[in-house]
Amino acid sequence: MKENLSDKELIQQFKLGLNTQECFGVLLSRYNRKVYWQVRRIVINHDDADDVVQNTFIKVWEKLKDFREDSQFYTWLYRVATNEALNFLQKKRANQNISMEELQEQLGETLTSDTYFNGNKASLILQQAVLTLPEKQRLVFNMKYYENLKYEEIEAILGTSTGALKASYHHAVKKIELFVKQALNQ
Amino acid sequence: MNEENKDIENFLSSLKQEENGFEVPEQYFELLPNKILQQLPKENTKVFKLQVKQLWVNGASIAAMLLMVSSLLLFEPSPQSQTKLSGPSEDELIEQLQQIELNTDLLCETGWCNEIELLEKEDLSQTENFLLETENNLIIDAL
Repeated sequence: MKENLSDKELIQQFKLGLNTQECFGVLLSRYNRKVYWQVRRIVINHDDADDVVQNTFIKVWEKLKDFREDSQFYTWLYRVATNEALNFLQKKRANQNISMEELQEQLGETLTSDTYFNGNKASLILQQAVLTLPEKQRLVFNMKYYENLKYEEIEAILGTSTGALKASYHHAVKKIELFVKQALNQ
Repeated sequence: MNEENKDIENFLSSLKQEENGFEVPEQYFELLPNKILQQLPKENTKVFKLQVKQLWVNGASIAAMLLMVSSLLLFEPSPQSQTKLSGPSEDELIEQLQQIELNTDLLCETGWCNEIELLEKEDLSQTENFLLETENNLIIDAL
């Protein structure tokens, strides 16, 4: 029955303490896939993505009562998930004492060894190209290209102006295009 | 710039036809919500601390009920009314009930001594403690 309620209604009931687990369960079922793919494209490995997604939703559970509803729930959720994923990578980098470039290289290698990556040559090259992008451009590209999010929504998630996002996306695509063309010609 | 954008769009859409290659274990998305829900703390139970005012109202209700029961038990029909086939009228009954005062001794005789004693002492702490101790069993679904 609660499946028919909007995000806003579910959050209101959650805040009132009415069947909180049930309300949260509906939100969880509604968004777990989207959050997973958003996280997976950042951390690449399935097991890492699984951990980050679980941590994300546990954090959302803890913070939902304080959610001010200035933005849409899903943009807030994406923001939490993105931060969790980036924090995860930062910790990983700090633990191994490696640079961002080295980490990106490592993530590229992860793709080929990951049991849950079964892409053909083109998709592997595309993913490797995305991994060469600076962090911000990578996030923008993923949200725009894979998630089909509007610039206004990405703005709400990343807190970057639409103009800057358009520029980031444009640069990202140019770099990817160059990388893919070079890789395919080799 | 427009032509450049068109080229980019074409390039991207040609790539998008390909699967992105990421996979998940079988049934992963079906099992994930429960996996997360199991890690959440148990649902908080709301326990409302009883207000003195509420207890007073409850006490008054109990007293009114006791009065009603005892007056029915102790009611002795007058000889005049005994001769009537249909007993006293409703108005007569109400009038008689109103004339009976709440007498604690009378209530005590009918077996309500302990309850009266508790009410008189206003021993609210016992009631509150009982409710707090059993809070996990009390789930209030609606406010």
